[in-house]
Amino acid sequence: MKNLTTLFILFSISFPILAEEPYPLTNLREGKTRYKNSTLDRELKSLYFTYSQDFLKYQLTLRTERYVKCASALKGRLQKIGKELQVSGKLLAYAMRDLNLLDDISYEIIKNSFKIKYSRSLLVGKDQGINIPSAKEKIILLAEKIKRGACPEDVFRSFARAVKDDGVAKNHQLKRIFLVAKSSKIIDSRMHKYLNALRIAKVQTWSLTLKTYLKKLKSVRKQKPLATPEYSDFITKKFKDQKGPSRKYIYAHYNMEQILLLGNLLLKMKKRLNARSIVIQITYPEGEIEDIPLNGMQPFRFCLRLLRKEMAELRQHKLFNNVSINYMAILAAAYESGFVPAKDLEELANLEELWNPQRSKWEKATFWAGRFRNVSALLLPAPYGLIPIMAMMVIESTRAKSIPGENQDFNLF
Amino acid sequence: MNLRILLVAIFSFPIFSHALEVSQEALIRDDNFKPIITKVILQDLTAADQFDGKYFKIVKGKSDDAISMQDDDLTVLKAATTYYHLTKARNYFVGKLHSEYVKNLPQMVIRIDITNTYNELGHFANDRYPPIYNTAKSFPAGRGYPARNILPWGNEIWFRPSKKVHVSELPGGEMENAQLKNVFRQFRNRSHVVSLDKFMAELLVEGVDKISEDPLDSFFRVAGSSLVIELIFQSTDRFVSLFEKNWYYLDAAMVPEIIYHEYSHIALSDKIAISHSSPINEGLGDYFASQMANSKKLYGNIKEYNQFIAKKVRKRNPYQLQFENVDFANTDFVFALIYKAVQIMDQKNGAAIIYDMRNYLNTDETIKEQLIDALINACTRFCVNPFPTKLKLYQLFQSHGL
Repeated sequence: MKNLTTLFILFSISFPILAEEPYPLTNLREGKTRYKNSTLDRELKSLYFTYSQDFLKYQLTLRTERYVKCASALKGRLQKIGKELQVSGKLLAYAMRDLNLLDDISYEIIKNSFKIKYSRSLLVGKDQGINIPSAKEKIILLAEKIKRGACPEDVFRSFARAVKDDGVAKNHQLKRIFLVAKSSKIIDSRMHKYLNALRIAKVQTWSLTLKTYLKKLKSVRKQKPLATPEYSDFITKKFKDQKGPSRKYIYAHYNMEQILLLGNLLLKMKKRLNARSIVIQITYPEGEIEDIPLNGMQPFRFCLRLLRKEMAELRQHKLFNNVSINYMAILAAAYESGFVPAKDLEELANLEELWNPQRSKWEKATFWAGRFRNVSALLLPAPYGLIPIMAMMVIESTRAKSIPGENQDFNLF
Repeated sequence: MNLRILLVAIFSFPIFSHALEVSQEALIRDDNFKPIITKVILQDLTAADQFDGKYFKIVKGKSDDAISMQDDDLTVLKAATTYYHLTKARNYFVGKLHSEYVKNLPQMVIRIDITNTYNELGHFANDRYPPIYNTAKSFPAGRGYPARNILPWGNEIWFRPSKKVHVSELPGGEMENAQLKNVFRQFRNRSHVVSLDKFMAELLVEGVDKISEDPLDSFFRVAGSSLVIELIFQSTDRFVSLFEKNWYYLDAAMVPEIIYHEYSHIALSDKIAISHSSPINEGLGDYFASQMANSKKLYGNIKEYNQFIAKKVRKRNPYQLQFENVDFANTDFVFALIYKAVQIMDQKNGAAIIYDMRNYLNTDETIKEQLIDALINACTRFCVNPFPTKLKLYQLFQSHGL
């Protein structure tokens, strides 16, 4: 094994490390990973001690390049390289993320593909309620495609989408039809195990596969090529109520045209915010023109309102049928299109809180306390009934949030 | 005759051209912002026994003669404190902010213990006018009135003497009390309404009050608590006065930050006129005073010479439209806003940014429009990352209710 390693090192030295075309999955946008793992970090340290980073980069790019469109295949390849280097495939995937050969989106997909394992305990289920004839052809097609070497997760997801229309939407229902298919000899035992492994790994619920991600990424890059890589830690973070990070969200939910359109909204807002002046002009029938310059906070609020208006208009656009639009998606799309730099992201993200403020727990508590104040004041005997009133008075007087009255209505926006 | 003049000129030259340094006791702040009276070196004096220097002449009242160092102890202490801090303020503007305007300012007359009203034509208003105490003010240069033998004068700072005044005599002194009383009033009104509701409910529906079984007992309890609330409300003023400061006095010449503040008005007067108080010029004065004092708190913690006036960078300080009025020019809103804006923009060169910003402002402009515009534009010119920093500034202004 040692000789083999030496051979690898010599081999890697004799060839240039960086190819002209970057590795298709190369991370060009994301900063620190959100999948930090202390155990894997320790193992990675030891891996870097044994093999140089350049050597690993070379091995991992050259020997996996053909498999980048399919996470299962890439996983298999990593496991093979891992065997040679006497490390796990998982660690090599982690190393790829660390070496920026992967971003968080592709790393997550590959990480999930490691969950596709053969299950040994297959329980026999009943086929009641499952319309096998309609699913039969689909299962045969699925099995054939997998046998011919198609990417399992992609064909499995297509299959799951197709049988969903037949009323087979849930995981346990898929389990039953695979069992029935096996007992009906539509698929053999080996294929059954394989399909079951894909089902258990919930491949049908993945938001992205490597193939779809790469396709979208490539088309965005073609439209908006990046002069230099730029890394943002912010874009890999999960934001508030979102299920995952915003960058992953946009690639999972939008196509290239949609991403560029969304990003353009923020580009326009940024341009307006940097304008030297904003003036509202009224032209009267007599030809008289009245200019109303916006000062102070008004240009800022005007720009935000205009963004909201444009977001509402975009929601109505035929390109965005059945797709929701939110501010964080716009922000991620603008970053992905290269319209805003990484250093602007955090402050732009804070704006969302500004024009769509979330109520704090304290505010929610005072709302409910206020609701029950009068009831409790009536039900409690005197003088205890005064306690809830006093409590609310204290809360109201200490709450700093002021509600602008008529005399505070000094801004147009 | 000519020879005599020449000899006098030759012998007097070293005396006038060489700036003297004299040690005197003055009030300064220590590292913990506590006031201490200690020996300091007064620089750039042109006379060893008078508070007459290259840049400042400290006089008493309407006099044109510099205060002698042999004058009474309190006057000397005031003059020394004023002279020392004015020199420090001048050095700040010339040394740190490279102000050519301040560098070329001629000797300035500083008046302490002056009670006269200022008059634009006559310099000092007639002595019949009521005397003014407990404040300080900067005045622009005047042309004088040659027909009445009133000579022209340069920029001046007047420090009024201190006088104990009861709070009730101050205009607007009841503002804070009114707010507290309003809270009490609301509490009292709501309590009475609830008591009445309760009483009516008990009359109509039996058994609303589960704890008190006896209806008469319940009635007395409701009436009793209402009576107690009413008594508390009626005695609010007396109650509050127990915990409040009742007397107001200010010896402005003995508060270092007031001296810095007033000098800032003069230093900024190349662009920001000192004709009258406004939120803009008072806010800028406070900001530069805080820079010279190296403190977020101003004027306070000096009970012997100042009871009442203190400003600080408060966490939450919501904007009110009346802050634009001259009557509220001295609130700490603008000071806090500029201070926080600088922290966002550039803490290291913040003072230079704000000093440059004066070029785009004038005395009568507003907080809600021109001051915000000036801060945003200053950021466009000086911030390292203008766009995200401007967004931070907008959020700051938003959080202050602007």
